[in-house]
Amino acid sequence: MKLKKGIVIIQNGDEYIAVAADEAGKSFRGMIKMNETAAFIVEILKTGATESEIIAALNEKYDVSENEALHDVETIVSKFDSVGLIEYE
Amino acid sequence: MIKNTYMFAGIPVEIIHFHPYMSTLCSDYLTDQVPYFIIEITESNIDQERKNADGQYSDGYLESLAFYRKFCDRAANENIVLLHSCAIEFNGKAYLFAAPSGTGKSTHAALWLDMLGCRAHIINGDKPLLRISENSIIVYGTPWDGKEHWSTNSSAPVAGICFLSRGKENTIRKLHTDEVLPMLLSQVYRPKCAEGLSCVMTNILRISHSVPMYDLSCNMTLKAAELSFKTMSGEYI
Repeated sequence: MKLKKGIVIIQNGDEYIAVAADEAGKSFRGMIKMNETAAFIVEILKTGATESEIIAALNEKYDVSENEALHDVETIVSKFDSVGLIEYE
Repeated sequence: MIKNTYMFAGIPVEIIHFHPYMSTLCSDYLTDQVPYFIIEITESNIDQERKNADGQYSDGYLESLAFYRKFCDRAANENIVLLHSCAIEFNGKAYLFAAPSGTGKSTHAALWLDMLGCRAHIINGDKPLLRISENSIIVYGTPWDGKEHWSTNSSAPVAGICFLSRGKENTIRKLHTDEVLPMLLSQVYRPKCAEGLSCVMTNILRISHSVPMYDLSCNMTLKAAELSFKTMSGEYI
């Protein structure tokens, strides 16, 4: 499982907005609004990190529990999956 | 091969191409200035436009589309955005009407011209360019000007953008910045690469923070134009 190539994140004040270019832009033309943590997760997902690597990074940066981190990652992945931005090998 | 330099949205660009259609189309935009960059059209660019097109078109016309696409991809880095809209100049300021094709942008613009006569003119009827800088947002005419071929090689600071939809009654309201973003995104040219789209997004945000935006639901009577004119310009006819 990985994010499709071409997801762009822009900061707008306190919020972040994801839009899709390249391969990702073929399936998604809208925008997704996110908070800082969600944007952080997406940036790490873009590097192809595994779920456990993301949870470790979240843990380090935001001092959240493993369960909370897992929940945040799953929420983002399911949101991006619902608009066709995730690809499965 | 044909080689010329044109000025679009204040950017001199050299184009190397095959068909004379481009030269005729862009003749008002010729410049002697040194180009910022060069765009070379290839046969495969034209083939790609033919695949995208919804009908039979000449190679010259397809070449002009290929050029505009490549220009917008490259010019995104120069803070230039194509907004699918009709731009009207009145009293030194530009008012833009944005909507999907077939909604009635041209009809509404024609009502403005009926109402204001020679005090107003159309900068571009379909695909103008916006240049965003630290302290101004300026709309520029281009020769890609829609079915009516309304365009002039002119420019003006953008004083308002109005998203148009059809309705029985005429109503207008000011849009909040948050509402505006998806509406702008749906009517701008989106570069295919992530870097270009990132520049366009940054500029959409800047537009949303500095230009008043409106949502107009309207019919095709003069009353509709009076409402949008008074609301956007704050002036009396």
